[in-house]
Amino acid sequence: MRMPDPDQGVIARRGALAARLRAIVGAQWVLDDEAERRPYRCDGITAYQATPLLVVLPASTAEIRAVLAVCREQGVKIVPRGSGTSLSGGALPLEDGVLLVTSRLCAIVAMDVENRVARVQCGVPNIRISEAARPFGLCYMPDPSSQMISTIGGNVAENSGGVHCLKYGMTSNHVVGLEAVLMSGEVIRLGGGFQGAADGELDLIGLLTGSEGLLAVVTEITVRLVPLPEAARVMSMSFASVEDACRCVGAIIGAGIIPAGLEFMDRKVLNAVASLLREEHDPRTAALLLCELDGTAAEIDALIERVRGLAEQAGAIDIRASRTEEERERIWRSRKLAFSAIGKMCKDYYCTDGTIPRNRLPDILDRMAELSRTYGLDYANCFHAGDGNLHPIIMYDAARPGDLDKAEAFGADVLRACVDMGGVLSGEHGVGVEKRDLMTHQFAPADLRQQQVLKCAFDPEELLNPGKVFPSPCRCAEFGRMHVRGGEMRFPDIPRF
Amino acid sequence: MIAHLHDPVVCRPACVADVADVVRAARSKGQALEVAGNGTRRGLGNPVAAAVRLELGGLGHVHFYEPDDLVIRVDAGVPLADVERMLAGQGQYLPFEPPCHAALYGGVPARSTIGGAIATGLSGPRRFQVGAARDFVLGVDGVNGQGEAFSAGGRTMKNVTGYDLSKLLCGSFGTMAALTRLTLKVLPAPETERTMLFPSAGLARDVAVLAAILSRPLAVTGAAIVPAEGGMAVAVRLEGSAPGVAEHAGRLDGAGLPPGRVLAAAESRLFWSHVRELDVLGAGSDDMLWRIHVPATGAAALADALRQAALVSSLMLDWGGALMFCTMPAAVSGGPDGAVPRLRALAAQAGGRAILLRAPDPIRAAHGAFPAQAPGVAALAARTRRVFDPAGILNPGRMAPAGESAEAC
Amino acid sequence: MLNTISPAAKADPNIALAGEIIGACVHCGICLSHCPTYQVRHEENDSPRGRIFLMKEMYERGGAPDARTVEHLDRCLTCLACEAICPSGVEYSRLIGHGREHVAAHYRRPPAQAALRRVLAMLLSRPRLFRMGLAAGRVGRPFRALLSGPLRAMLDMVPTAPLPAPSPVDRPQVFAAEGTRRMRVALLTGCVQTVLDTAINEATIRLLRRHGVEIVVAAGAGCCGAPAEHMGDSGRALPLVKANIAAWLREADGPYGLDAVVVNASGCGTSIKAYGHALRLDPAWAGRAARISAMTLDISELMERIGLLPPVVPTGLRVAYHAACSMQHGQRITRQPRALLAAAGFTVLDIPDGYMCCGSAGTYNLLQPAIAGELKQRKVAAIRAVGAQVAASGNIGCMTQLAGEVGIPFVHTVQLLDWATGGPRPAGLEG
Repeated sequence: MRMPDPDQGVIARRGALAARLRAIVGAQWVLDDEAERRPYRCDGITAYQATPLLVVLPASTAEIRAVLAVCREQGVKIVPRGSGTSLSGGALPLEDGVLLVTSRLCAIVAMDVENRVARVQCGVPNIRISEAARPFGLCYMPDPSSQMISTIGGNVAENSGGVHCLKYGMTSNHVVGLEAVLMSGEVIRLGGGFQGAADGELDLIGLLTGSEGLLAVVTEITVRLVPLPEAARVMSMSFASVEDACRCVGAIIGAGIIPAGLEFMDRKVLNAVASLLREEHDPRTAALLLCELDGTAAEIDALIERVRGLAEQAGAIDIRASRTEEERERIWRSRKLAFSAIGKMCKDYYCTDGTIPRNRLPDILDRMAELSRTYGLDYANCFHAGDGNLHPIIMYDAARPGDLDKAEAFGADVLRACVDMGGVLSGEHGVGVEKRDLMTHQFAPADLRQQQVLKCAFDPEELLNPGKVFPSPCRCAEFGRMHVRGGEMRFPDIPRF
Repeated sequence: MIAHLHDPVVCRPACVADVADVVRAARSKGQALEVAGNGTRRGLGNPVAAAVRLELGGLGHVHFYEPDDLVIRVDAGVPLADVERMLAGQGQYLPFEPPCHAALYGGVPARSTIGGAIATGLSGPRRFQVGAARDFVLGVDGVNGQGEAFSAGGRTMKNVTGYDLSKLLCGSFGTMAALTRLTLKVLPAPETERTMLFPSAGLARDVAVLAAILSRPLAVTGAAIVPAEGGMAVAVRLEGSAPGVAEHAGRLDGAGLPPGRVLAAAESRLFWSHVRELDVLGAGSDDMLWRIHVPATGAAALADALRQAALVSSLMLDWGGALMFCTMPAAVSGGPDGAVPRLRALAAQAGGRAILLRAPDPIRAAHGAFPAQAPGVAALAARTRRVFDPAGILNPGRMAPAGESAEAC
Repeated sequence: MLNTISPAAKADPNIALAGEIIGACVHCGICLSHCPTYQVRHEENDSPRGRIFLMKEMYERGGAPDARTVEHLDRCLTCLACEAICPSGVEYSRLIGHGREHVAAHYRRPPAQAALRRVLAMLLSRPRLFRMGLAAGRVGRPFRALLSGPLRAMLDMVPTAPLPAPSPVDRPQVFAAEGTRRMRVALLTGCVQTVLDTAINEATIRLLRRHGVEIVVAAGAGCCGAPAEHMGDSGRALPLVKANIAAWLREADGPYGLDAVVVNASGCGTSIKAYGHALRLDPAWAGRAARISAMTLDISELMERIGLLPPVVPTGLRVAYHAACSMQHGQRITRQPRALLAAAGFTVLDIPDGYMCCGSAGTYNLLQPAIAGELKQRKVAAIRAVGAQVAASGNIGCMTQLAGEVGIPFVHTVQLLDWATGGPRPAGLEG
C-alpha cells in the first residue's frame, strides 16, 4: 500500500515538536520513544503498519485544539485514532504524522433521559453508552462487533454498523449532535441535545459521520437513546443449499418483515465453529441463517410463525427458535465465534466488506467460488445477509511469500464484483487504506472529485489523515483561488501515492 | 432582493445533460439560478433573486422500483404523490412521512416533487421514531454549480464508501447542486394503525407523560399535542400488526393518561395527515407560520412564554414535544419586524431554533427564514457550499441564516 | 500477528511458544476493554495488545529489552481478564510469564528496584520471615512520611490490627473426616495466608471435615511459588514448586492416596494449575508436575463436587461476591462460588464491572502503588454501591487489599459456607 512519501524534514524535527506538544498535554502523554511508538503501528488490520512520528494522548477538546494548532503551524499531518480497531486501516499511522489518540476523552458527559439522548466524549467505548442507559430502560442501538472497545468517536468516523443496523440503522442514524475541531483549530458545535436540533441547516453531521477522520476531529457526540426492546428471540434455519438460504433472505424481506438481525453462515464457518466448540452439526447443512426478531412476546410469536412458513417454502431442512434467553445466547454464540473459529483453522485471514443488492446474493457467492479457484485460496462466508453486507473471509498464510498479495487481490476482485453487481466497496468497515485504490472502480472521476473537494472546505492543507479513502490527494490549491496561502501554492506538484 | 419584480425565465430541461447545459450557461454568464422542482414550495426558505428558474419537474423517469430489495430510484421531478402511490401498491411507504406543505404556499400538492421533498429535507410526525428524510436517501445524482453532473451514494442498504454526500445534499435546498435523481430506501408499511386522543392536562404534564411513554418499548410512531375543541389534545399513534397494536394499546392504559378516544385506522390516517400538513393549526391565510425545534423538556415553558408575549395565536407540538408549530398573526403586536426577532430570542432561550416556515417575502428577506448560526458553523457551511458551487449561482441565499442576508460568495 | 522472530531465537522453546502465541493474536483490541491498566491509563502500551506487540519486538530484536518495554510489562497485573475475554484464544498468561522470565534473564534493573523485588519474593514466600517483616513494618510506620513509592506502599500494607498468632492447623498433620470418609485431599495452607488470616484455613478444615473429607497438610509443602514467579524469578520459584510437587506426590502415592490438592487462595490455585506448564521442559519433573496440576481444585470446585450440606443457620445476609482475577480469569471459576453461597442461604449480589482487578495482584500493590491505588478505589466504590452486608472473596490478596475500606466485613467464601453449615460466625460479622 503506497502512502505519501514521509517528509524527512518533519521527521528531523520530532524532538522539537514533542517538546511543543508536551507543553500542551503533559510530558507523559507524548510518546516519542521508539519502543513505545511501535505498538501503535497498526489498528485492527495488521497487514498495514507504520511507526508514527509521535503519539499524543490529549485529555480534552481544548488540548486537541491546541495540538491541531501546533501541527497546522508546523505543517505536520495528523492521524486520529480511538481504540485502534478499524478493519480498513483508517488509523494507520504516518511516519511523518502525529497519531492523535482520543482514548483519554472517555467521560459520559450527560445522560438526558427525558430527551432520550446521551452526550459523550469521543473516546467512550460504544458499549459504555448502553450500559449507562440500561438503568433507564434505554440503549444505544448501533452495535458493531467491536463495541466492547471501539470508541464512539471511531464509530462516528467510520459510520459503523453491526448486526442490529438492519432494523435500527447505522451510527449516522443515531447522531443528533457533534462537537468537532477543525484543522484550523476552530471548535464547531453542530446540532444539539435533541432530535431535530440541526434541522434546517446544512447536514454537516451527516457529512462528518463516516468521513473517516479526513475532515475534522470529532470530540463530543450526542446520540439518540431508544427503549430496550422488550424481548428478542432468534431463529436458526438450516438449508441444504446456499441458494435456498439466499432465497429465504429475499422472501423474509419481501414479505415485509424487517428482523432485528439476519445473518448468514456457510458450511466452512459452521464446521470451524463446531470444531471449536467440540459440537456436531447436521452435515447436510450448506448454509445457516440466524434471524433475530424483537418486540413484545405476542408480536415475536406471530413473526416466528411467518418466518417459519417462509423458510419452509424456501426449503429449510431444520428450523429452531430460541425459547429462553440462554438458548438465544447459545444460538448467537456460533455467529460470535465465527471469526475466531476460522482464525483457528488457518494461519491468517483477510476479511473484507462489500455490499450488494440483496437479490444478487447467489451471483456474488458464485463469483467468490470462482475466484477462490483462480487464486488457490480457501474462503468462508459469514455476513449480514439482511442488508446484503458481505464479509468474505479469505484464508492465507502471511509467512508464505506472496500469499498476502494473493489474498488482497482476491478480496479486491470480490469488491470489484460487488460494485459491478450494483453494490459498493464498503458496508460498514470504511475505505481506509484497504479499499482506497478501488475507489476509482466504484466512482467515475467526476463523482470522486465531488467528494474530494470537500477537503478544501475543511482542511485545505490536507493535513488530516492524508492517504486514506481517496487514491490521490485533493489538490485544494488547484481548486479556485481561495486556498492559496501567502501568495504561494502549497502543493505545486503532488504525486499520486 | 425581491424575486417577483420580474418573473424569471423558466428553463425546464427533460434530461440531465440539459440541466448541466443550463447551469454551465448560467455559470459562464455569472447568472444566478433559482433551482426548483415544480415550484410548489418556493415560499419555504429565503426568497431567491434570479433571472432564470431551473425547474427539474421535467425529469420524470422512474428508473427502478424493487420492492423485494426495499429500494426505488426515481428522477427528481417525479411527483411525491406518484411515488407514494406506487409504493402503496406494494404495501410499502416512505417512513419519514414527508409533509407536502405545498398548500401552505398556494401550490398544488399533486405537483410537489420527490426532489423538492428531499431538497427541503422535511420529515413528518414519524421522524422522531423512524428517522428523517436524510436517513432514507441511499443515493443522489445532481449537477453542481459548475454544471458538472455527478453521482453519490448507491442503492444498497449499507454504504460507507466515501463521504456521505446523500445526507449532505438532502435538505440543502438546491444550494449545492440541482438534484436530478434520487435513490431511496423504502420500508413495508405497517399493517394497521390506531390513534388515542386524550384531553390535555397542561403542556408540561403532557410532554412528561409522552416522554415516559417514549422511554418504553412501545410501537408509538406519533406523539403530538394539538389544538382541539375546548383546548388541546394529546395524540398517540401506534402502528404495527393488528394484534401488536392492540397489545401496545393495552399497555398505554395506566401510563398516566386520562381516558381517551380511539381513532381507528382510516380515521387515524386522516388525523395524522392533518397534523403533518398543519391543518390542525387552523392558520389563517395571512398568518405567519413557525417551525421551532426545541428540546421537549423546554417546549411547555416556551409555549407559555410565546403566549404570554402574545406572539402566537395557535400552536401545536409534535415529536413528543421536540417540534413546535405556531401561527403568528400578520397583525402581531409590535409588527413582524419586532415580533420575529422576539420569538427567535425566546426560542433560543429555550435551547431551540425557530424557522420561519411561511411569511411574506419581504419579512423572510429581512429576517431570514432560518435562525442565526454560530459564526464558525455558518462559515463552514458557506465554504462547504462553495466547493460545490464556487460562483454561488444555485439558489443564492436561500438557506442563509438570519443576519447573513446572502452567504458570502 | 505475523512476527519475524529469528529461527535462532526460536531454538529456545519458550520463545518459540511465544512466537506461536503472538501469531494467534489478530490485534482486534477486545482485550483493551477488560484490561485494568488500560482502563486507568488509556494507553496502548499499558494494554494486553500493546504488551503483546512489545514482546514481539523484544523477541524480534533479541538481547536486553529497553527500560520502557520493561516498565510496561511490569505494569501488567497478570489478572488475565484479557485471556478470558480474548475471542482468538491468545494464551496471554504464558506469553507474559515467559516474557518476564526473559526480562529477568536479560535486563539489568536499577539496583534499588532489583533489591526491592528480591526482598519481596523472599519475604512473601516464607511465613516466618514475612511475620518478622510485618513486625518491623509496624516499627517503621512513624517514618512513613519520609518514604515514597513502593516502600511507602509496603508500609501502608502492614495491618494495623495485631496479627493473629500462628495457627496450629497450618502445621503438617492430618485432619480426619467427620462421619464416613468420602475423600482425602491435601490442603495448601499457603504462606501469606498463614500469617495474615489464620481463620481461613481453620474454616476450610472445619467445612471439609463436616463434609466427610480427610485433610492432609503435607510435610514439605509451602509457598506455591507465585510471588517469585510474578516477578519473572523462576530461579526462586521453581524450587518451591518442586518441593510442593514432591510433598503431595508422597501423599498421593502413599498408602492412603490423595483425591485432590485443594487450594483456598485462588492466586495460589492458578499457579499450581500451571505447574505442568512451568516444568514441561524438565523431563524429570514434567510428568509429576502435570499430575499435580490435573488434581488441583479450588475449594469452591471441590465443594460443588461434594454438594453443600443444607444450611443450619438462617443467615439471610446480602453478600457482595468479589471474584478474584485468579479465580474468574486465571481458573475460569465463576459459577461455583456464587452457587454455593446461594445454596448456603445468602443473597448473592454481583459487583458492577466485576471483571476488573482490585489492584492487589500478588505483589503488584507494592510495586505499582499508583495504579493499584486507583483500581482499589474503583473497586471499593463498586462494592459500596451494591448495598451488601458482607463482602466475600476466595483470595486472601484481594481481602487484604480491600477489607479496610469497603465499610462492611470482608471474609473468605469458605468462612460463610462454614458458618451456614454449622461453624462459628466469622469474626468480622459479629454485632
